[in-house]
Amino acid sequence: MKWKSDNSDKVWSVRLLMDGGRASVAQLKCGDETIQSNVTITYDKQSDNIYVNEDGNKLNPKISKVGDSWWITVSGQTFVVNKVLHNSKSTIEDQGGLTAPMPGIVRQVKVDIGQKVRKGQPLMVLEAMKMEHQIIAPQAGKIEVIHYHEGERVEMGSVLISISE
Amino acid sequence: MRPAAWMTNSPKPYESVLVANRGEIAVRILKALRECGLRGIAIHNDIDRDGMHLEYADNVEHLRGEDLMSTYLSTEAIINAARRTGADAIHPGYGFLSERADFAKAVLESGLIWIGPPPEAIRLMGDKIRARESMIKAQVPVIPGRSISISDGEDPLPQLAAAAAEVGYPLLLKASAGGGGKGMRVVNEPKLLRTEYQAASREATAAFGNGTVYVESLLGGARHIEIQIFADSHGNVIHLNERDCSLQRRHQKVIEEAPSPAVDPELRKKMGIAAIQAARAVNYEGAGTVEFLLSPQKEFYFLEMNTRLQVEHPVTELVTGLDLVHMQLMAAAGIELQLSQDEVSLSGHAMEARIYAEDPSTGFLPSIGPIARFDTPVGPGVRVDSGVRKGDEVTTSFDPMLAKIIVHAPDRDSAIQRLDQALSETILHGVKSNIEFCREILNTETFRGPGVTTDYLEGRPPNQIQNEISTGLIEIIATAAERFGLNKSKGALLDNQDNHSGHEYDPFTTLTKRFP
Repeated sequence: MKWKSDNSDKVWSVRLLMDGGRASVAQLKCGDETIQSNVTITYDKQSDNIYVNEDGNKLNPKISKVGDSWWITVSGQTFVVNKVLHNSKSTIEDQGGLTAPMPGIVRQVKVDIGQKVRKGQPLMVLEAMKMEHQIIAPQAGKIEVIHYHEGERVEMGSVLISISE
Repeated sequence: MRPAAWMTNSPKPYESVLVANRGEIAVRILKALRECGLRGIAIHNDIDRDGMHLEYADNVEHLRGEDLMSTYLSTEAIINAARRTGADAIHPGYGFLSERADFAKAVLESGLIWIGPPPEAIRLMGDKIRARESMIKAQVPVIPGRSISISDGEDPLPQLAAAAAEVGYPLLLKASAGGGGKGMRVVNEPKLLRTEYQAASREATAAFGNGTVYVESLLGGARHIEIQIFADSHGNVIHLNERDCSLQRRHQKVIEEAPSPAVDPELRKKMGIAAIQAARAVNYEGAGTVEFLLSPQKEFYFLEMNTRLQVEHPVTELVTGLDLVHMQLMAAAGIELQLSQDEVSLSGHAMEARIYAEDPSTGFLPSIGPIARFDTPVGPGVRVDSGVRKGDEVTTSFDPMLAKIIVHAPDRDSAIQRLDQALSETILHGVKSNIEFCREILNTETFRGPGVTTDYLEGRPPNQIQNEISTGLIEIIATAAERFGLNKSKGALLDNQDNHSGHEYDPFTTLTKRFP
């Protein structure tokens, strides 16, 4: 199975050797690089818990499934790992647009269609929870489409503005 | 009406209280009402039908509508709900209508008891410009600043520039009706004056319905020290020591503690007296907080007075052994304060971390989603005030503060250790939070040493959290979880049962929810 965690660009692939309620690592790869791992896992059906043994250290991770992601807390740190499906790439680049980082209301549009913008230029002001957030140009380019206008409500992930290079 | 036994001989006995709020503070107040033998009434709107606070109410009133304006912020809807449920009194909590003088007035005019200060005190302190003027009159020191008055369509720049020239850079633009960091902007150089003014004014209009902004000198290296005061209707005013709330991000408090590492008994006494003067100047009643900035030279300046219960009130409760909500309930019944200034104690050290649904790795953008897991800490000296539980959905409709983890220990060092441990036991899945960010701060040398100033987090890169274990361990665990079908058996077990929340990840909590 292939995974990518929220705060990292690396893609990991894991193959496990299953043996009843126990599992050991058959293959672990980070990108194309194979990494050695002595981690073993036991599953306790009664409590629906997983226990980890890493080089003699026993860990008791707290795990939840939310949508297609796993939320895993180990030693007080929480990670979110997402299953990588085949041929899925970053949507922002594919659509050539800027997406809303959160749901909210468009307060101000600072650019016009056809306008040339530089990298880092504020394009739009979004408001959520009564706080304002600036939408910034990720690269220099020309404004092709403005998908939302002042006063309109946007959902998280909505494409707000399309920029061509 | 059958008032609780403890208030039968009081001037204004009452039996039931409508809590005009939601989230952790509504839970806190509704629990206190039960403890005091009073009937608690909760409200909710269309998107808050499963709110945790409803579990602690004896009556629940549905206010129709999805938006705040026609529900939690509607005087009419709330007073009608009080009438329908036969409430005798209204407690506003914090936020929402708690500092709207017109609301307090409307409550009193409809014959209900208002668990809060007199409307005139709210009005005066709510207008930051007028509040400043009355503090100057009461000889409470204020921060150098100037008010400006911009009419619609007028270019704000000339007035702004004149005010800026007087107070100097860096300066602070502040909403006159403001609070909680909304409508507040730091300006470091003249060329940003206009755009920051416009942003502050827009935010102020959106949050408070009033875009008036004033200009204040930004004190560098200052601490935010606030004094909790309490006044009854018999003319007694006492202070309950200070809280240090210097750890703020964009003027939102994150970690609060009492006592302050920067305040000694002599300064505490001076600030306490100033806070009492401030409260007396506006004929205050009930619980209130006088906020000060404390300069590195230990000079203090009045910032504002919050005419309500504060989010961080628990740290004061832990070091004084008092229950501020109980005291509010008694004061509202007209009962005289049972405590003199000399009897106010200060024992050990208390510290609070606010858990916000926000993602430090994206510059603290609000985070939304289902709460798939929420483990809270328990143990000696640990208190959790929470407004959410597993199975709830965090949306952008409400404030992103979900819960508060509060600890009490013999001294500051052990309080830091205890809070760090308590936070490590706080596990939230489904929504990103600032839990690890709080722990990171607690473990800095600055925080552990002298403590921080209000600008501490400003210069700090947003994502210093080392959130990467490079061994692939997390990915191995995820693969195992997937292969063993973790979390599945529970769901399968209960699939056929009533699951009205529509969340597949946790049918359990919805089953245990009971609504009167």
